[in-house]
Amino acid sequence: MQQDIEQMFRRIHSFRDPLHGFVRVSRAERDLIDCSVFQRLRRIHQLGTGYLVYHGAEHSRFGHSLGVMDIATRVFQAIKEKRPELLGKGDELRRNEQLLRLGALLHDIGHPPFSHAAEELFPREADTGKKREHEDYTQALITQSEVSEIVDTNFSRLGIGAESIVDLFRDPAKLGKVGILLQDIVAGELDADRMDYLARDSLLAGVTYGRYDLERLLDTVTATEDAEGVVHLAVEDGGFYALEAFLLARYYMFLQVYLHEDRRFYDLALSKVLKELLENGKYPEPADWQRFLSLDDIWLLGHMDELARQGNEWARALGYRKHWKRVAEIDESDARGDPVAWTNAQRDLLDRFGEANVVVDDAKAKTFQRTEPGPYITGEGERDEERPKILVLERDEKTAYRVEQKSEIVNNLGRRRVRIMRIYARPDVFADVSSFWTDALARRS
Amino acid sequence: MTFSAGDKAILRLVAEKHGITGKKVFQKLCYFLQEAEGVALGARFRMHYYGPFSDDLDSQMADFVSQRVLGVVGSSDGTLVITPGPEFSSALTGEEPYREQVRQVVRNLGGEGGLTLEMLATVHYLAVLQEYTGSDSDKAALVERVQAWKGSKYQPAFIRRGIDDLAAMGYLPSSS
Repeated sequence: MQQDIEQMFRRIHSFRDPLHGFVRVSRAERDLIDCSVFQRLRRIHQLGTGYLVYHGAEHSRFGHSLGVMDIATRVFQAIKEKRPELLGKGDELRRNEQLLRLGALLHDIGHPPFSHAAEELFPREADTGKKREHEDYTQALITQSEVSEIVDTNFSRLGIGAESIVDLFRDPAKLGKVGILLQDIVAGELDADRMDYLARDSLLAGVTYGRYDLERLLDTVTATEDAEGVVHLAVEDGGFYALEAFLLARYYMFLQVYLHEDRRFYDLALSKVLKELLENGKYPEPADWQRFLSLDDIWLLGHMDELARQGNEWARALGYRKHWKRVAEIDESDARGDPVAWTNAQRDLLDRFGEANVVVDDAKAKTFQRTEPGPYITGEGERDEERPKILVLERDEKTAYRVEQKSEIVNNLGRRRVRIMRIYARPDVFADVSSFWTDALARRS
Repeated sequence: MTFSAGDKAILRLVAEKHGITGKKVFQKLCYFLQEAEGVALGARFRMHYYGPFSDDLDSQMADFVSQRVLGVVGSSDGTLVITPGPEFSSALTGEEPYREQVRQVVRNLGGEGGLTLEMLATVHYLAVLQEYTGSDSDKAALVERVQAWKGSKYQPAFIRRGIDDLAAMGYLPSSS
């Protein structure tokens, strides 16, 4: 019997992955991967409508989730070698690693069709106005769907239940100090999620912007304490440039791929199509996860095809790749632009041409936690600071510094929010809209 | 730019405080405005380096700055002060349904600095997760959780006082 149990946890099954070579999983994990909730991820494009711009980017959340699990495991193993006292021993160590793997594997199961493309269609809580996020659906699925039964059946002998996976994201302190470190590995500023998607998206989109030295980063990753003794993921001094390249890769991928002007238009078109297809124009609540599970890219594409044949212009734009052209664009950090004048002129444009002829996109991204004051003396006479904590361990391994203290490039990244506002016009009025826009902006400037 | 009731509450907070020093204080006061006073800001908070933090709110503040409704001014000791901007008064026209809640937050917490607010907001966030009841064992567990996140930043006695202060304000789950 004990042998059967051990067999369940040996990582003898392999998935061949374009980024990581082979991703190995156990029988116990394979049961989870084979369930319908997880298999649905094969039908969710990782890059949403990005494949309409980068035709190689047909990859799904399925491969990404396996990749995150693989990277998270490698980070765990690295910390185990370098800081063995942090992750526990024996059964506790085994439990912590398995919990991390499960959290990484399941972190995206609550994604809607086409990933982030139409997130404004998530419902809002009635009293607080807070918009639901895919994490809410992920938590509902982990605790209420067949995922919960499989986790409880296969992993309870390690002291892991569905709730403990949710706690990893929602309340890691419940798991003790190690819980906070585990959360950092899978959902922090230097997490396995970003490490995988940057490299994967770059590879499959066929661009080089997201390329960075992943192997060097994984070779130098470690953990260290901050000034208050709280443990964070960190990078050894030898991995400094790999870390810098990783942070820059994220910045470039946002600007060049994730916020690509045509891709953003297709996201807008997708949102309009979804609004027509969804009941009340919104995704169902997380409590209605059974209905949510029926929504995937294939469901949407099937209905979209029908709508396109009926003459729906947004469905036609998506289905036949008829994106509207960009009339104008402003990057918030470009000193030549005036966001206030832009906003006022945009209002004039919409008053004149209406939403049937003009669409406006406001794309924002935070590629690095913005740098804030610090250290400084507060009104309480205390020394305080607000800077992010992506730490690099000195060669003496006794002290750590913040990456932006050594990297002027990263320091400047933190000063800049990525915000690009764009205006698109229907093809038959493009010339008129362009001309009106030029005048409107000049009047408002 | 159109301004919701929640937006106006945020702007009124800046006005009532005559400027807010540092993003941390801004985030934490808004946290209590929403989570303790029930003002619908639509902001999702999650635990970050300095207590509960909202990316939505961070983005909203940046939008306000971009539209010159708020300004950010550097002061001589290196801090940044968030102040009303040139377009501020045009944003605060019409009804402000949350004015009393803003005043209440400023009365309760307006005199606290960033360090204390970080502790109080962390306590509150974890107390809600823990479903804090006010019992001695719950209090001890809450102190431990805060220390798991904050290390040696706050002494246990300081955290316990923070718990008591929040309870006296009626902000903890057990005190509602």
